[in-house]
Amino acid sequence: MHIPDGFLAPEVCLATGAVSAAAVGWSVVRLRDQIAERTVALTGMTAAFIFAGQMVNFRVPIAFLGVPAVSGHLMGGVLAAVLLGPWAGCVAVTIVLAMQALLFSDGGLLALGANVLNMAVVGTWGGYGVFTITRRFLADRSVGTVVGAVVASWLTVMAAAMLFCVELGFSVDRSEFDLGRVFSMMVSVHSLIGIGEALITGGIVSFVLTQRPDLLERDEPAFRPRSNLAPTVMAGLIVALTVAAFLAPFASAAPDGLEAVAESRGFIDRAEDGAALVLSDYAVPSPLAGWNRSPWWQRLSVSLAGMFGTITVAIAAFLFAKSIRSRMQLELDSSATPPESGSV
Amino acid sequence: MSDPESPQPRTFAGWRIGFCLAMIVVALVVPIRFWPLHGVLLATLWAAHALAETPLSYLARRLVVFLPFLALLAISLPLSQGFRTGGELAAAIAFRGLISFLAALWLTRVVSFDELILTLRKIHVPELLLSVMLLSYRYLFVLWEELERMQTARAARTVQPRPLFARWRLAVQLIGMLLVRALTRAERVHDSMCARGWDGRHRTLDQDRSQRSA
Repeated sequence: MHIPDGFLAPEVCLATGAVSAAAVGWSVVRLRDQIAERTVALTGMTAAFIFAGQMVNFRVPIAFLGVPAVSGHLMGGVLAAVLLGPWAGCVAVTIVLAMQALLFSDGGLLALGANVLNMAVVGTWGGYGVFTITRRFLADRSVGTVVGAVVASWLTVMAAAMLFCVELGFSVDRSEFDLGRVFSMMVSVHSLIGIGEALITGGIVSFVLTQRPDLLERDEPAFRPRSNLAPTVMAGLIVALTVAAFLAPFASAAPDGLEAVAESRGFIDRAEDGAALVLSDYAVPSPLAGWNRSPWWQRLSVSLAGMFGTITVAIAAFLFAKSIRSRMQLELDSSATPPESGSV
Repeated sequence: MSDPESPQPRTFAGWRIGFCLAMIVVALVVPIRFWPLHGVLLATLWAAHALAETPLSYLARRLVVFLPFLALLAISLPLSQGFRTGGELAAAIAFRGLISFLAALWLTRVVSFDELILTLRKIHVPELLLSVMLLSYRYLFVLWEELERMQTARAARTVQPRPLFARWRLAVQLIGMLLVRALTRAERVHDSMCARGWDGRHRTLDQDRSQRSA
């Protein structure tokens, strides 16, 4: 996920750096305004926690380019936002990214602005927005917290991948690569990575909710639940699927629009001969070999990836909600006995 | 990292940071057809690493992880057009990525964390950000050790489960427990910071020394 130096043009690094500096600066100002007792210690410790938590590997038994199993780890943007709110969360994730770049050479120094924009700013501000909106629609507060965190995690990973494509589009001459194909590859791969992040974040949030729910209580404006779980989840799922099915092709059509410019300049004739079968890796493989190179299959594959991700995240959110409900109920029933301590 | 106990900082850390950034900017701005210049940059960085006495094993360990990742990134763009074009682009990404990586590694060898914070303070990075950065750097290693202890304790007590779901659940519980412990520790740390008269500003030994000598 961390963009190294060399990928983005210096102008793009400067522009994203300026946007990130403004956003992080604004977060610092807001944080200073509402500085609560323990903010600095909590923010610093959360940053250290995200860094350390990324050392825990989640293995996935999928072969990729000859490597027998891929492993992923927590990214933590939404988790920071859920724990600390958008302002302190943004600061915490920025610090994690800055320390990774400055002390461990993970992610480029000049590309730090782009990395902060994609993961810290969009990850925590956007993630927190999605989290609060989702939670507001659910009657049960703990269920809302878990479902909101799961949905926000998936969406922020997808948003980071799409933002990277935009930054890449501005950095590299479009005649040199196929932005549409890179876009559909990024979206397909990240819809899977996002599911992983959603599962990990949902798991951690529901674990903390059962162990120390007070850690997730923050001073917020009055909380007004709107409706019940089932109809809201169904409505949300339908909206999300519609968006995934109908908007994703348009999103991938935008880079194709850029290709039209290349075509008018006479570049495109190189892109259409038969040797490009390697490219089937770049989209969901189609049932018929000939389809792989057709532009509409490319768009459809983005839609399919989006819908697959949406359905999986919805199922995950539903299961997390069910389990947290039953655990909360169990705790209420046995509230006379002292609570069990952690399993580790 | 340079020795934090050394009596005098060698040069103003800003120069070293500036040198590192200049190398990266030059590598990014100069087109790859002037490749001898990139070669010169690589040779300069190699010499800089030699002067900083970077152990070869340190470089090798990091390059083993970074180079395959860089190669994958470099071929991904030409791959999108079936390798008909973009060889130059792949070379540019590979060269620039390698130069930037070596420059950043050199920086971590020659600038200590204290020096970095002092330099950031000089360019007026908000004090709040620096405080958070110092705190997380201080506790990062504590939490790493805590995580290792928890992993050892878990390995000693439980059998590693086969099903993927159960393994993920154990890993999630491990992180969740680390989070609970980290936040509880944050409360303790805050109380003890207040007890020692913390006023929102961190001081380092180097800074006190330079103030006394001034």
